[in-house]
Amino acid sequence: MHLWIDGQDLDQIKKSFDSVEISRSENFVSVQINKEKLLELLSFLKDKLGYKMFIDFFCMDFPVQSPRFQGVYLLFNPEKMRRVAVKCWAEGDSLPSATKLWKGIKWAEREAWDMFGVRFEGHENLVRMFMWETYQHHPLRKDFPLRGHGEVYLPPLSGEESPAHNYSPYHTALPTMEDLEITQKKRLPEKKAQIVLNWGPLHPGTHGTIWFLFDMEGEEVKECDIILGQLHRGVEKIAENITYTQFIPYTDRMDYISALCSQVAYVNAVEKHLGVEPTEKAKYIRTMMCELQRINSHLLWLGTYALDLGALTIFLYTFREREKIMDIIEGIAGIRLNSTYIRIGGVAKDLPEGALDVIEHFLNDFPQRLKEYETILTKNRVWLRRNVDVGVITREDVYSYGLTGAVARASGVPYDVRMFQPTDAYGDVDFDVPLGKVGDSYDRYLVRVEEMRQSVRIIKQCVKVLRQMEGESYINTEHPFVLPTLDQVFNSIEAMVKDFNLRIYGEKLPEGEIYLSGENPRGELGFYINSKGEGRPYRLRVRSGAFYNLQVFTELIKGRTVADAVVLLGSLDPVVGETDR
Amino acid sequence: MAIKHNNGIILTTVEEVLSWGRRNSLWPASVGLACCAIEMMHTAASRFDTDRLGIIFRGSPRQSDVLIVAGTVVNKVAPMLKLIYDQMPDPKWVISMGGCSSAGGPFPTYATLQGVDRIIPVDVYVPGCPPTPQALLWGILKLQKKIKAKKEGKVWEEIPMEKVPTASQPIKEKSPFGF
Repeated sequence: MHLWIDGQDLDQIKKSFDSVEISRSENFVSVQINKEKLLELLSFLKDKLGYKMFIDFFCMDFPVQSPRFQGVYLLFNPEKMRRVAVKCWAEGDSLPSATKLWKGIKWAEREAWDMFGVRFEGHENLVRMFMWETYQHHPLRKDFPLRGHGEVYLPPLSGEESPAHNYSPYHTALPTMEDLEITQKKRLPEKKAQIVLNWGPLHPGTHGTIWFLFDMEGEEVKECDIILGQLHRGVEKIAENITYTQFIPYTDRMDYISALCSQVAYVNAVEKHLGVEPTEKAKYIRTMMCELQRINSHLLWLGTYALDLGALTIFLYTFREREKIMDIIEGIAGIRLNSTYIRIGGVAKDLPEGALDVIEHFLNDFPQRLKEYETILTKNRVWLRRNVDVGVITREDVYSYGLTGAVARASGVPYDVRMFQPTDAYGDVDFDVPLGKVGDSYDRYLVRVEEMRQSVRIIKQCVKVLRQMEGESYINTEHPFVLPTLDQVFNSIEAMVKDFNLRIYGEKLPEGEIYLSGENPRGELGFYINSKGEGRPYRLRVRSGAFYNLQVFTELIKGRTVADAVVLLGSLDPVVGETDR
Repeated sequence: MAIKHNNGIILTTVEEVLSWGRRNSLWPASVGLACCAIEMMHTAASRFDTDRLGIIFRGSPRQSDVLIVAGTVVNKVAPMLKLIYDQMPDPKWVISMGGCSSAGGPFPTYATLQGVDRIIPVDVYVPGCPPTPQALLWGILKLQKKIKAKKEGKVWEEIPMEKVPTASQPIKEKSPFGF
């Protein structure tokens, strides 16, 4: 399974551009080009070679080099199912903006400006993506400390001087309401219509803390922008300071509704780079848990989506089923929501006794429940009037915005990472990928409901295989970079030394880069890891599906009423933890 | 304390009636910030059903008297959260749910507020990452007790550490190891 650009295309690039440098490895193929020729190469890749789908753009910081920053573009060819990375040094701390080629890059460039201070020539409105406008620093630069600078005096209100030994009354910069007002004004520099409506950030309908700005004429939205960063916790910065195993809990807390899927996507990337092969049993457990989590996540989406449109019953019904899945996950992993269950080389614990019976019982019961929801919703007149033909996303939009997951599939683009890049046991199980025809909110609803059925099908096959694997090993501890189990640590001195070394110094990933992604319920969740051969990543980039999916909202809402905003947001299904990271 | 007579007359004070009413109809503002918000939703939904305790989530801070800070408070959202707290009518209480809002949790970074008690006063801290619905219910019951204790002029005692529930363990009166 080679997913990177082939030699034929590379030859064509070499023929047309003489200044390119190509670096090929098994996990990452990149084409480096100078700043002048960058846009030319990108449009050549897009128009001539068919790499028309935008996947990701991010920057890297090399403080001792000049120029200091490097931009990386990830593109995808949907016909050949191949990826390519284009690298370019930002001379003079600026790059040409590629917003003319892909609309989806607009937010990514804003993020790069916010985090690194790289300017983009020709960007329509280069403002900060996550932090507020008056913020003084660019936090992902290597010379910025993880904890920031203590800039404001902010003691605890209780009056106690020091509640803990490492407690400092000096805190990193906080914005004032004036700062936020400036941030808001910069987003819509020219007010076109009658009134600017703020929706969010702390509103029950915004699915978290998203801040919408609608420039409205009457009830019609003329212009829209979204302010993110109300949950920006600096996950990418944290990753640079901790070991690879220590980062697993943070992947949970990014997309907290589908924690297991995020863990699997991250661990797969690390494993592939380390060369660890998980045991067969671990692969099946992972696949099973991922699909359970997918059902869980889609149920939350269905419940809140219906709640937003006024159907409270569905919310209570889906949460009943969610509780069952949460109990199953708690029984297996020990924690309900953010279950740090996946480990490098396998899983943390073996399946407990009776776990498969409980899952089977749930699987027998669940399809009837799903039918019940569909009876209430699918042909409901109100549901149809609110959903059909609302927010139609075309195929071109999917490629241009880099939409993935159910949003892309509802528009008829067969983009499923499980299909073309089968990790774990996805290669051995049967499932169909449901596709929509129109690409409206109703199609997205139908696709997600069908995905739940397919998940049930996958779990059934996994349970069948796992029944025969009782007693087999669930983690491949023979590899030198896999943490030993607790039993081994307590019973052998070698395992104890290995455990100590790995926990203190971390897994030493070989020098190089990797980009690997997993199919999250919210889209492609990709992890780019740049390793310098140390125990912690030099740069870890999270390609978030929800981040790019949300971006199309600003386009879809134009010309529609505010009431449709709820429908559109619900059908795109963003999770703020993942969009903001 | 109200005195009950056999013929159906209850003698009490105005203060006591108010306290009784307040602690049995805690209306939280539905402000969800991060992962904890999901568990807060679970607490309100079918299985745990906070409606039976008189806890009904409100969409507006003007109608609520409890603020459940559910999730990571980052620097950018801190002034907005403070605004919501200021908009709530008196008397009002704050429950800090989870490690992030109590002390920054696993995010000791440039972007995260290290404890919501730096900007608004907190009444009950609920530990966990995220706390289970049971733990949140425990926090709410603690708050009810606190409201009751305040009105009777008692000094509120601190919560002993061993009475704090962990992820999946029930509260034990005394740990088997004696600490």
